[in-house]
Amino acid sequence: VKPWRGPFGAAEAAHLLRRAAFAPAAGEVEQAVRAGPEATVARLLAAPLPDKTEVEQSLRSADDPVEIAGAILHRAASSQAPLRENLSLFFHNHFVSAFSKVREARMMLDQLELFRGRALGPFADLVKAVGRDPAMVRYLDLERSTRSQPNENFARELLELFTTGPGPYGEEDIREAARAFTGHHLRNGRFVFSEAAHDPGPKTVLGQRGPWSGDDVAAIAAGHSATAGFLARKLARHFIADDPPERVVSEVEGSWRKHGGEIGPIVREILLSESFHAPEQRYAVTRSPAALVVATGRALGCSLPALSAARHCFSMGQALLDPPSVKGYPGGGRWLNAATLLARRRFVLETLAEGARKQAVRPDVLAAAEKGAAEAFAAVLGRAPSPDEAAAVGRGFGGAAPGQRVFEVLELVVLHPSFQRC
Amino acid sequence: MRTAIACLVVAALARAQESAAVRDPALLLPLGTPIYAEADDLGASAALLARSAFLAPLEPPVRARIDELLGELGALGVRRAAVGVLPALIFPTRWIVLAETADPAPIVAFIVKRAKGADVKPAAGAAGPFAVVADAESTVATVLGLRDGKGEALAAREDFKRFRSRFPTGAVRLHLDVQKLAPAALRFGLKKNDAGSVLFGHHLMHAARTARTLSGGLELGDPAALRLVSEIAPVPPKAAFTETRPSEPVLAHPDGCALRVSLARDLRRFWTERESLLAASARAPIAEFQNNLAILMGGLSVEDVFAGIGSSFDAYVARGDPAAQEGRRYPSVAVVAALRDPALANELLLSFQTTVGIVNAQRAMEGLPRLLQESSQHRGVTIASARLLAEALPDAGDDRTQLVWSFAIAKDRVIVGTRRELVAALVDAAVDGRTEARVAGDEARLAGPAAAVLVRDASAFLRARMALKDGRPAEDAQRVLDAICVLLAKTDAARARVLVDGELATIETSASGRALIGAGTESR
Repeated sequence: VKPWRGPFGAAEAAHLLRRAAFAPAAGEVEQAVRAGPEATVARLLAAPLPDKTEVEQSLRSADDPVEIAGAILHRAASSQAPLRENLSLFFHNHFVSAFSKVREARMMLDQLELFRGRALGPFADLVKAVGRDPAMVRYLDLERSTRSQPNENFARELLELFTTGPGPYGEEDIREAARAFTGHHLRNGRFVFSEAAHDPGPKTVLGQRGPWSGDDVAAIAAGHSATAGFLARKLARHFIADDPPERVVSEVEGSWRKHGGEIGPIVREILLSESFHAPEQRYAVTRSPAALVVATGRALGCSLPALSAARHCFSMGQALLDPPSVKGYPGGGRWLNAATLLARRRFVLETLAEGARKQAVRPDVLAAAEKGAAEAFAAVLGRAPSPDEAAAVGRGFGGAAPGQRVFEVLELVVLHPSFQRC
Repeated sequence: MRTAIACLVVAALARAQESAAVRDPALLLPLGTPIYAEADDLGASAALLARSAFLAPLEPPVRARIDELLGELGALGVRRAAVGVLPALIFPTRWIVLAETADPAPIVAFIVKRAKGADVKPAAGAAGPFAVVADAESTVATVLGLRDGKGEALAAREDFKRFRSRFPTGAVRLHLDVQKLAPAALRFGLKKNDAGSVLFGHHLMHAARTARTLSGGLELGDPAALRLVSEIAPVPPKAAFTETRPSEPVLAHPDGCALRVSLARDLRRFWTERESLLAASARAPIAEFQNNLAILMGGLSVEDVFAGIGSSFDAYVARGDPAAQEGRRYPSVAVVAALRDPALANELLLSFQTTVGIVNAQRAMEGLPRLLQESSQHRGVTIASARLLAEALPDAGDDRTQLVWSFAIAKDRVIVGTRRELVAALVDAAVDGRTEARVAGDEARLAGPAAAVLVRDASAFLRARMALKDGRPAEDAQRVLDAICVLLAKTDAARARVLVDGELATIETSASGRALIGAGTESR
């Protein structure tokens, strides 16, 4: 991966913080410019995993998916480790489980915690942990998988969606991998390995033969050469562009191979790469509803209560914890359509109304919005608007006098494509 | 000379007579005044409220605004005061303030300040002992005309006379002509597609939909009390399932009980009238309920079951499992229903156990932890219970282990609760015959100090909920909870009652506690 050698001013810092940490919070752009890109990325990567919040602890027995989604948004919005939160949402959409089947809030919350905790470590370890994760064991029916009746659901998704992607495996690989995961059961809601239900015989998975266990197969699949390309494309879509150029995917794949699938160093290289900072990649990633909720809170300093935000997420097309299928949310540009754009507008209007009611909008953003649309644009997005952008926001604003209609200005800025993307 | 003296005496007598004639401010307000409020001692009431504990839980900015308002009201130096408002759709709203004071200037200044930028230019005058401040000179002229006997005054209106007889005293009294303010045709009705809403709220919605007047009185003593009375259309016979004169007495509160809510509903009558009370869309869930009940009750019909159950239901809320962690302790809740038909007792007990069995089968299919069924004797009464085993749950101290679903039938009472100890305490009350008379209507009784304990017990849950629902930081949420606990701790007892009977709907609330009113200023 070719490192970025260009300048690192406010625009670059804001870009980095938008992608890695949802959006820059007050003073964060200046701090990043002073520290430089390496130190900023190092800080983001080194942020320790915070303790679980009281909200999460109180909802471990909850049965309302909106409340649990609210707890996750509350955690993401209040976390001092935004990159981990960002990656936990990435992995929630990669290793998909759904509350509608798992039915235990505790399991879903623990799965998100697993993603946060292992988000920057070796991918193979994460895959192994996912194979033992109670939510996943239940979601993909491992708990009913025995040596006499191996269930293939997890094995199929492990290869097709979690590691290699379609191509390098056949139905026989799935059958053999399923045998390896027999015995991954739950007892009293905890993972147990049932020796009696496990098939200890030799299996051939992705060309490797042996008496493989589930952990072995997880390691084989995670270490397969196709996994590097499959995950590299997903990471590139998450961090660089909805539709990344093949050259960029290849670069990330190279980084994956170089670091043996250890996610932290790979993410570091991506965030410091020339491809990441290339001007054409600015605003090339569409914010998911969850990311938009957190980003709006950080950018404006005010946010809706988490429960309300979770409901808005559902309206904007993202039923957190209940993806539409095992493939996850479609993502990218498909987040945006006529219905979801209206829902995004409602979300922004309500957030600003809440900010006004609680007088919680960031003072620097408010002061900028009082001066005018261009200033508000710069304060929220961390850069001055181009003449076209200034004209667009100014037109929408109707040319009202500076100091008036502050919240209308902010609404237009947050609804601008440059904020709906990042 | 004698003639001159006689003239002076006659003139003085005439003034005194005029003064006496207008001592009632309602004599100075137009007949059609739809909003009327009066206070006997405005300054004293404002001072009492400002010092009361009721304001303690309010948010600081709200509290500051109310303190400021009460301070300004107190500083007006007004004893008796009355306000009449005549809203208008097209023309500007007319309003009249009558205050027993010689100088209307502070009132004018107060109104101009409180109008917050609106173009208000009050006019002032005097009528008898009252300073008159109104929206315009023409309105003041109307008041003066009424003083001089031109036109009919509010005091002559029949509904107003009834208001006066219902509320002869009180720090603040209010009377609204609801029919004039919001014609019945414009009022929303009850959604009839939800059987639960109809069962619990039909009488209230009937009152809200048909109210002609609303009168109220606030007493600021010990107890502090607020009573509202509304004149409504007669409750139709089909809606008479809300019993107004239930006969079954209430079981005495167990020790530590913080709250009791009592509802009186004749389920049998409700079931009979369901077709006319509910929308067609409610029929599917009703049919499902009918089927499920037959399965659970050994083939008995809904009619049989409802005929065997009394018409009063009491929910008790008390402290939860003392072994649970403070802050994460659920309150325990139990519901008591009267049983008219003793033959139903065994069926109900078996239906509880059948329900737990069905729940367990469902949970087993979904891989969820199942409930352990237990049964024990208490005072010769079988208490059946179901709970999750702590050993079957992955988290140490899983909150769900606090719930022990318990069921008992003691004498003529069916008792269902979330904690065996509370159910056992209610069994004791039933076996010992410890009861108290039931008041008419729906009633809630609160024991403040015990309720404060419950709030502290569940503070972590409440903080989490406030964070989720209101976006409150934990420290801020805790401050609110602390303030609520302070208020509850000072409230020895509080009571609310709703009665919709005949052509009257009454809401009564009261709270007693020596430190509630007239205590030192509370701060959060």
